[in-house]
Amino acid sequence: MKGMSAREVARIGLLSSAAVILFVLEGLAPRPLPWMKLGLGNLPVLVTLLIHGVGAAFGVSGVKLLLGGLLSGSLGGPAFVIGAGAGWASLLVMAVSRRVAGGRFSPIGLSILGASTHQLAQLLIAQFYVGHIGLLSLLPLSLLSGLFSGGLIGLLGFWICKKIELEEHCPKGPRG
Amino acid sequence: MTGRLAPGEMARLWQVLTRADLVLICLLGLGTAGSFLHQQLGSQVGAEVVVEMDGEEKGRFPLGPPLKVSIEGGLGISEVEIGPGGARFFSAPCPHGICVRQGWVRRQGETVACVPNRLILRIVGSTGETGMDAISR
Repeated sequence: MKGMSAREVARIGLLSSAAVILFVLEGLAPRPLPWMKLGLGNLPVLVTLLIHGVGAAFGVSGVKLLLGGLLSGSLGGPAFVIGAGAGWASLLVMAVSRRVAGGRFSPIGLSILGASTHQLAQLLIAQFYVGHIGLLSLLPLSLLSGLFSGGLIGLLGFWICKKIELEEHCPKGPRG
Repeated sequence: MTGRLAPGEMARLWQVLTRADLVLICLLGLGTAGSFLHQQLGSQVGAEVVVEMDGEEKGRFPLGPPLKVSIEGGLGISEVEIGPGGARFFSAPCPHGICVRQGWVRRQGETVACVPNRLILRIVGSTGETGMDAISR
C-alpha cells in the first residue's frame, strides 16, 4: 500500500467504515431467508474495487468482516465463516473478471457476477457444515437473488462511483 | 458533487449495460428458470422424511398421519412436524429461526437445514433414494 496519497487513505477509511455500518445495519433488519439479503455492506467494497483496485477492496472487505463480525457477535461462528468465504470468493471473481475481461463488463455486470458467486459459494461452504443440504433445491432462489441484489448494488455502486470519481474510473464498458 | 441525478440520468442508466452484461444476465435468468423447472418437474413427491445430525440418521418418518416429534440437536430440541403434505421444522432453538421460516418440504431431495442446531430434514422416496443425480462433497 505504498505510494498512497492522504486523500486515498482517507477515502478508503471512509469506505471501510461505511461498509461496517451498512453490514451491521442490514444484519439488524428482518429478512425472509439468510441468503436473501441485499448485501449492502458490499456496496462500499464494490466502489473501492472500482476506484482503488483489488488490494484496497480486500482491505475494506476485511475490515467489514472483522469489525462487522465483532459488532454483530457472529465472529468465528458458522455464519461468519460462510459470509467471509463467500465474500472473498465473490471479490476474487470480480477482480479477476475485471482484469481478464478488460472493461467488457460494466460495474453492474461485475456486481452481478460477484453476487452470484457469493450465493453459490455460500451454499458450497454451508455444505461443509451440515453435510449435504440439497444444493439443487436452493439453486433457483439463490441465482435469482444474486441477479437482483447484484444488479441493484451494481447500479448504486456505479452511480456513487461517478459521483466521487472521474468517469474514467467507473468504466461503462467498451468506450462510448 | 451535487448528489442529484440530472433529469433523464436514471433513464440512461440501463445504457450502462454492456453486451457482456446482457449475456451474463440472460445466462443467469436461464439458469434460474432451468433449475426451477428441473426441480418442479423432475422430482416427485417423497414418501419419507429423514432427520439427520452431522450426516447421521436420527429418525425416519413416513409422510402420512400428522405427527410432531422432538429431536435433540447440537443446541437443543427442534420440533419437526410431519403430515401427508410434507415435513417442516415447527420450532428450533437457533437464534434466527431460518429453518422454521423455510416452511414445508415435500419433494424428493428437498432439504431444510438448521446449521446452528446441526439438524437436517431430508425428503426421500420410499426406497431411500434422495432423488439427487449426484452428491458432491
